[in-house]
Amino acid sequence: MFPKYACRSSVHGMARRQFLGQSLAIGGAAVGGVSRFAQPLFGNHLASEQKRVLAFYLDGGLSQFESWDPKTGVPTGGPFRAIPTSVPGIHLSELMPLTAQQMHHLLILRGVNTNENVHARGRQMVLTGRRFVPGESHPHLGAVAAKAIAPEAAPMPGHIRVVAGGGGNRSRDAAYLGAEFSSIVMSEKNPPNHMPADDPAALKRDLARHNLRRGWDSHLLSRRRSAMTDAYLQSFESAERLVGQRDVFDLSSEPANEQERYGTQALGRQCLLARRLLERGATYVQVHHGNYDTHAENFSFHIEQVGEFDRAFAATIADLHERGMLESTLIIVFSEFGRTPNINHRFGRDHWGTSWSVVVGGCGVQQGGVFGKTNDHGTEVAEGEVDHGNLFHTFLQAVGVDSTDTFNIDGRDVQIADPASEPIREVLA
Amino acid sequence: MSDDTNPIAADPEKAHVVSQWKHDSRLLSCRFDPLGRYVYTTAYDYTIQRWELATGTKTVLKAHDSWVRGLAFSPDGETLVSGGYDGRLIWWPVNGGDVTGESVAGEGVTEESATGEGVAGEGVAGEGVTGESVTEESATGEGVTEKKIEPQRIVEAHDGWIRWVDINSDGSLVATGGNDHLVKIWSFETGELVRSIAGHDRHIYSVHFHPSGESVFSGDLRGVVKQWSIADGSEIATYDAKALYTENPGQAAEYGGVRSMDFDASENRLVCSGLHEAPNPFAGEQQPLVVVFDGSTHEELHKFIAKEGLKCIAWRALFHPAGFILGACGGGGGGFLVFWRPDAETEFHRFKLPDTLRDMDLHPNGLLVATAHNDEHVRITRLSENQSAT
Repeated sequence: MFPKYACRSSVHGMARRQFLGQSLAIGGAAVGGVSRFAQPLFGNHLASEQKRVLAFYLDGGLSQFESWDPKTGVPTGGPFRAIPTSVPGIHLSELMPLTAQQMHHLLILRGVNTNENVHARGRQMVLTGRRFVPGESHPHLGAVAAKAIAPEAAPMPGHIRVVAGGGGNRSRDAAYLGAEFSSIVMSEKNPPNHMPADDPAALKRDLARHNLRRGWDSHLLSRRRSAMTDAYLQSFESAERLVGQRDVFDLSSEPANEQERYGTQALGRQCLLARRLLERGATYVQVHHGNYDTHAENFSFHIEQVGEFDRAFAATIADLHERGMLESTLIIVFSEFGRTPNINHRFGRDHWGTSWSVVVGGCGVQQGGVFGKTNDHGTEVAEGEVDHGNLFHTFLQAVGVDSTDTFNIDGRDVQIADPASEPIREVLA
Repeated sequence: MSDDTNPIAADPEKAHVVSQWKHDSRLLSCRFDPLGRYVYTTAYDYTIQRWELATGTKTVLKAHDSWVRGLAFSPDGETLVSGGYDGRLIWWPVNGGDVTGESVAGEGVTEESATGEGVAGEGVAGEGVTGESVTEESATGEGVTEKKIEPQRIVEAHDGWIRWVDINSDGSLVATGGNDHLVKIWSFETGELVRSIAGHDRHIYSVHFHPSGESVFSGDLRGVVKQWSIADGSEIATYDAKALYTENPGQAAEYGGVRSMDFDASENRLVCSGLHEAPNPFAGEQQPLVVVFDGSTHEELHKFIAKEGLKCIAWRALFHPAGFILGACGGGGGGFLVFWRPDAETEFHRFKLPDTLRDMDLHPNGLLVATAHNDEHVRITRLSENQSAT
């Protein structure tokens, strides 16, 4: 069976020569040179204006009523009040007093209708911008962003997810883009598994092992290069880059007041790690916060979860702004869906993809506003309805990616985003 | 004392609904006034409703900005104190208010039995009642004036939800507890803060004065019950009600809590209610649990559970003068009054109500039970054969 790259296209041929040349250099950072676009120069343009994405995925379905789109004094509203924000006329749930002070950096899209109430499908839709179709697999936003905006010589992996308990493993969320762009899952508690100790002797041994491996790999790859060997190689090279940045995981090195601002709970630590990863050159970081699937005792549980999110998120936004990073960082806050206007008999809210909210901020989007609205009871979108396809296009456009462009996948042009959809131009800066 | 008014004559196996009235918003809490003239309910629309037991006439009290779960009365029956999720404590007159306009008679059934005639075989369908259902009818109440009731005092009492309010037996103090982890003692007369007690590290779900008036109990999400001295705020005792607490690491959820407390001075016992066996808090899967403690040793005496799975929370449990424990259980499994004898783990009788409930109260006569329901109804259940709603 021929290697997958036996298409002998000029793109792959060029990349192969580049790769082989680099891999023979002792101590060099050899990176597989798969072309990233049908138009390779596009990446060079972005290199001079590096953009990044910080996404917050709130797993389970954050209630829009208890966060971004409060409704008070109506049967669907629940017990929480609405509070003013730093933008006159815009209100958030009283559960978000700190985020309310950062509203001028954010834009709420209140007219999201994905019409999907199943967790897995809703998740796949918001992360890929495409409706679930059996047999089809599309790359997640992070993989696309990593391919589109991560520099070739990036000191950090391009696609990182920060999840409680993450150990440094790779996910399978890059689909046809290749393993190079799949996410590496990290945790705020510990560096990735098998990270060498911060000991000169251990690091020297690790480097020696890498050099030995590269030598053997280059011999093999000169004859048998394939997508699988590329994936293998990328994993090792990504790991080595991380080893070189291993101090990024030492959150104790942050000033005490910074740690206090983010909070000592898990999400606060995860956000602090995310900021550090972005500072070190990561281009897409997705922080996960869970347990929003509150079919019972929705209000008591949202007090806890949104309270935790509010502090960590507000600290992150403020910190990025103070460091001058917000202008070049797209902020996204999303879930797989929202929660029902109807409060069930267990004081809970159920799944609701019909009228819910997503938030963006920072780079490339209008800030300090609201796009779209729901009706008085929050049961349907009244204005500015958008869906997962619109959102996906918009996220990419915000960081300077032409979402109507294509990838070249084994000689075939594949749309980056769903060609049946388009960006929400009104929210782009 | 006739059996009509003798609480000792209460017979749970004769339980039947004698009245029900419908508000236009789902109900959260209910309490009878000490003189037994009214039942008060609270609802999703942030209001409090006063229902006249004899006629079903409803009066709406508006001043809170959020749900209200805490209701307590001065012993003389003249004043209601409400505590809301807006953190406000509000004093209201039970009677009085300006007289204007037309009445809004309560929608629902006003039983002919209110005038002394029996309504044999009729009632609201539920277990323990045979006969046809009575459909709701509104009474038009022509010529009756509406009574607007305005707050007497509003205190910004807690940072966050007030979950429970109680008033001591001589009516001098008000106790509150809530999401700010604080127990607060207030002067009933002036509304001033007498004492703020810290010691819980989770939301306080219930507070209850000891009948002596010398101490107050507080129970939190984790099943920690503390008894505090009124005189100096010191901790007198801790009761371990952790059986009412569930921690689910997978969901990062803490669930349960001391949903209610009651103290029986004659037997020196404390009863706490809530839930257990909750494998999936986010889905509201749980079973009701009631726990009784010895007031001297502070040790657990008994646990009370339901015979078959009810999928409910025991929202409230009370010591009934007739010697049994009365529980109100509501959740995915429906709404039930559950009756336990002190010496048996499972109930001797259970009465199913038409809809899940969130609260319950016992009338001063010991024979009527009010329940607040998710279907917007308050229901009055009588624990004897007599059909009277009062």
